[in-house]
Amino acid sequence: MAIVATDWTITRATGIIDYTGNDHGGGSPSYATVIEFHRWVQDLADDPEFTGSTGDELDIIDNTPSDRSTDNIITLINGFTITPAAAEHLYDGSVISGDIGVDRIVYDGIVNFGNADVQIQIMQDGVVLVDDWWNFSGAGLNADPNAGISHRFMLKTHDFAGDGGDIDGRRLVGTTRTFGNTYAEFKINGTSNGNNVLALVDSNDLNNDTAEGTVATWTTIDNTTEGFVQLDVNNNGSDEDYYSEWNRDTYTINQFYERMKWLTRDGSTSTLYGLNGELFRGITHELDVDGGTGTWGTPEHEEITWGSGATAGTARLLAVDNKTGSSATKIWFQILTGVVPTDNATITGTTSTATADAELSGGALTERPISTPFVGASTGSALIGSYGLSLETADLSASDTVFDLTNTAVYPPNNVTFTVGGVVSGEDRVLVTNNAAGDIDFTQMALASLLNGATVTAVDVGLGNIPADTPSTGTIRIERDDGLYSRHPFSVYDSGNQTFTITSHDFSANNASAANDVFVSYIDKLAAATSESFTTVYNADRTLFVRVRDGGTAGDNEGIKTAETTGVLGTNGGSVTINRISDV
Amino acid sequence: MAVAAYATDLTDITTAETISGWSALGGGQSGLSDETDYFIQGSQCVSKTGFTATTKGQLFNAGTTTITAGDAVFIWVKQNNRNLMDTVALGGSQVCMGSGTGAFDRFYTDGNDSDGSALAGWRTYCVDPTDTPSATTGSPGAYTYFGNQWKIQGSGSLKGNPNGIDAIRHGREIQCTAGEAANYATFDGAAVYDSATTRAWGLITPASGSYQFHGAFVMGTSGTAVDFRDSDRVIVVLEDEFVPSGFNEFEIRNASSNVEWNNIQITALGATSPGILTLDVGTFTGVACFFTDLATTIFNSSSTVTGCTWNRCEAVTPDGADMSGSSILAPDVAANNSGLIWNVNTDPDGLLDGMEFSKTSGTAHHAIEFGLSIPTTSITLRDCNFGTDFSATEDGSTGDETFHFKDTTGTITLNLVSCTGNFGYRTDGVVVTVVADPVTTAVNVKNSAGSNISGARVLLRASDGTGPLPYQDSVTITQSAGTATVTHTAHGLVTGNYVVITGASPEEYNKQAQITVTGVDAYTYSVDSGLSSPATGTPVSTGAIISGTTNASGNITDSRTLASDQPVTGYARKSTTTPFYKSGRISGVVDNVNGVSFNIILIVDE
Repeated sequence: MAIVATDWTITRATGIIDYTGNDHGGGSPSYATVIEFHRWVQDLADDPEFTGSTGDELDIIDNTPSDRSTDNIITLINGFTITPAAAEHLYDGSVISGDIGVDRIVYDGIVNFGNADVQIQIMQDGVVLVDDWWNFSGAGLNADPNAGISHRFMLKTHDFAGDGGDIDGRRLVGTTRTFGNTYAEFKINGTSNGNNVLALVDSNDLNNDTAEGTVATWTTIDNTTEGFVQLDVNNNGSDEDYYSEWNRDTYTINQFYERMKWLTRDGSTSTLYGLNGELFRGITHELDVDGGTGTWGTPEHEEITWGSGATAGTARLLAVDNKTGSSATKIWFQILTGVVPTDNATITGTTSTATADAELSGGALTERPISTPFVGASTGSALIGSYGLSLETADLSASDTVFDLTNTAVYPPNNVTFTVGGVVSGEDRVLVTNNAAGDIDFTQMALASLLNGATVTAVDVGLGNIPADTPSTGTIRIERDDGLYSRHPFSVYDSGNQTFTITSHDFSANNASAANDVFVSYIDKLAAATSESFTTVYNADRTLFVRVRDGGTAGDNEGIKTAETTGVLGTNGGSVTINRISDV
Repeated sequence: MAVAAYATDLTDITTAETISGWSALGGGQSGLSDETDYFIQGSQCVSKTGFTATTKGQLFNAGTTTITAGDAVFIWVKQNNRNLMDTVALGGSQVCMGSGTGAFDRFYTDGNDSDGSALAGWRTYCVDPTDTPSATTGSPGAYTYFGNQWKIQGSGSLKGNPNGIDAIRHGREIQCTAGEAANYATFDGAAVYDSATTRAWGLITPASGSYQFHGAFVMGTSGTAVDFRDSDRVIVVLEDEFVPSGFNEFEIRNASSNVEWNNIQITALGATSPGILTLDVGTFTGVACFFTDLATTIFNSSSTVTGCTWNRCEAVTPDGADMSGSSILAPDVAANNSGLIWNVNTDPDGLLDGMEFSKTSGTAHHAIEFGLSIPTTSITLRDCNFGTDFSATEDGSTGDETFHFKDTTGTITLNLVSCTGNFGYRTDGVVVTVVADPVTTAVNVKNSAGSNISGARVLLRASDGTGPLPYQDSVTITQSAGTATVTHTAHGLVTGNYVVITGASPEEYNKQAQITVTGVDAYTYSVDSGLSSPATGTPVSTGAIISGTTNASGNITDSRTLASDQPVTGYARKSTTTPFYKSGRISGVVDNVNGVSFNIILIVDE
């Protein structure tokens, strides 16, 4: 569509070229490519005289108004400029005006290859541009569906008088965050003159079908810890590092996922880590630091800055591994403007005033992957989390995956529970052991060394001999030299699956010699409820031997016949129900 | 082609090879003789015995004779007693044509006072039978009798038969066709062929190193072209009183004809039919020819006529011919008419170079008339001399101005380069600007491939105040009915010049505009009616040398007189239709002596 000349004016005295037609939402707004615009002004420029009624004050007596580098790069020269309104009605390239270092303004072309109804937002210079006029009536301006183009428009990327030059290095981040749809983002690390491509597509997110208004009410989903936090998500006895610990309360993991999308959707007014949800993207960089000073805030998130001029940058601090500045060795942040820190650049918290020096000679600056949405992906029943984000361990299941701040996948354990039901509290003695042909597996383990001390707390059964699915706490039985099996609670066992730490016990009078039997008594107690259970981390199916006895000395004072059975502890746990047969 | 051929359209009435059919006039039938002692055609003529103090002659009864309109009767007559004839006015020798010996018209063609009358010899009298006779005998009907009689004064000789009549014919043309190397058609060839005893047409007759001619000298026919080349000939056009004005003519026919005259001199002996030069067909080349007392001349654009002179001739119409170096001297034209008429849409620059014009004393005529068909913007004459007898008044009305512009509207610039004399002009309405000794500012616009760009808009204006053109001179502007009137002190511009107005408000005043000068301090140009008046702001005016678009050759030029060098700047642009070009900047100085040529290369912008 050629330019609609009646929608444009040129003022000879000022060189201002303005769009005066209908606005985007008006009756018949018009748009023109930059080459059509160039052709139009050039057409006027070789006229013998302008026609007063058109408002196009340009003809042969005027200086040349424009110069074409390519069909997509037009430079207005000799003082001619376009207004912001005009810029909103031109597309498919760049329009440059003004003198370098004086009053130069550059509008660069943005082309999004995406689905026709995708709605996109632009982050520029640390903010999400408020006026997204390029999204129009549920579609994009100047779309070309045949070419797979959803939007074509121009953005100001350089304004010497207004911004001192390039606007944030002409860096842009395009996002699409329509709640209910998939999210995406696409970075332009410095626009070039001409068209700059975004590739933002979205589609219905099948795991995000709850009404927006409903998700808005899930306010008990809370960011328990904002900032550096250490969690043993995989229950391996060693904590991993995260920048966030969320509590999903009673909501499912998918509902948690939807809530995270809601917080960061287009139009969000929520605040995450001190940033508007629309602007929050998650950690973009991990940086080794040293030489810090002061104390970082609690929570850590605050604006941090470094450098000046071409080396300047700002970011939102999301985690620091030690709030004592002098002890901090790593920080994690979402960059907002500028460039990443150079070696030894001093990074300063604008609120805490704490500092840290970038350590790139002995350390590293690592760009971390961005997830869209920032929380990661949902399978509907599990979360594939994003870099550094975790939930409370109890809010995770074995089907979830999170990534710690080393970007290592961390898998929560499969905590399975074996339940013995049908027991009577206060009467029944319950014993659950590994099954050995319908009996206790006495030889499940064997002592590696003599126990004869008065305060024995370590029970060595040999390296790797403690079964992997042994609960982290519980009880074991140890064969004493007198032939009896004494019961010993243990609070932990070592990572080598070799040594139990038991409650201190005197073996001096009744030793337990090496090679004596040791077995785990998974349940080894008087029933305190109608059922008893234990939880452990599933490793492989295990057949358990269950014995329940009531000697009739408590409760109803009626004994039962010894009840024995077996059950399997599988991936989903297991259970047995005791058939109590009175022995009266 | 073939060897030159000659023919005529004359038809014999009689060849006088016998006295049969002849009757005596004034008596003396027995005195008629088959005269073999003297004759000019064939082997005899018809003579009559001498007589005195009376009028006698002889008539031939030709019966019904049809003479085509425009033709004439040619009659060979010899009077050996020429000194005894009466004067012409008293009918010394009379061509007679009538319906009988008692009823005939008498055309007084000769007498003892006619030029060369002292010389005896044969003469051809040419009489248009539709002309008014000098006298009439009886009441003649349709002409069937043709002859001649003489009025001999007293003491005439009675010896022998001094009164002879030879061939009598009717018609007009001698026709030259064909011609090839070493045997081109020539005047001499035609005359020799004509004058052979077997023909003696009497159209062109050798006479003492020259040629006597009357009738129509036709070079080429509709069916056959001619290659006619001759030089160093002197031709006199005989004075025949009883023919129409256009009877005698030199005419080219057939578009393929080629006629080359070198040092051909043609002189008319009389004013009745002095001879028309109708040379506007085929190709004519004339060099150093000299025409005296002839009637009108017309050429075409294929004609080249260099160094030729028309002396006391009627108007010359080149019609695009190259007449460089020729002269139009003392032309025989009426008051307010012109010696040369230029009326084609071609700039005479290069075609009328070096011509000389002089004025006929006592007649208020012009040197050159520019007709309605000339170029509409500017024309140029170079190295012409107009003398000082023409009026020097510009926009004069005395009829003797050097130039006469016939157009009634528009504007025209006449550039006179190295011309001398007076440069006054008369105009029938067109606004004329005479620019003496202009310099040319030429702009040629090409693309990078070297091809000329047609239709490129060019504006070239003063770039500073060091030249003669105004540069950003403060002006005041008012508007009324769509005409902006600019008060511009001592602007020095002329009507048709361009100015660039800037700084005025409303903006519609600001433009490049062609002006009409209304005074030394004022001019006007067109604007939208309704503009608030006077213009506000700080309007200034800058003179422009060129404003317009290039022609098919990529050129646009301006010619004007500049008192000093003129720095200029501007643009060449073509960006309305494909191929589009980037705007091209022009900057330089127009030398006030040599002008300047700008060669602009536009870069394709697509």
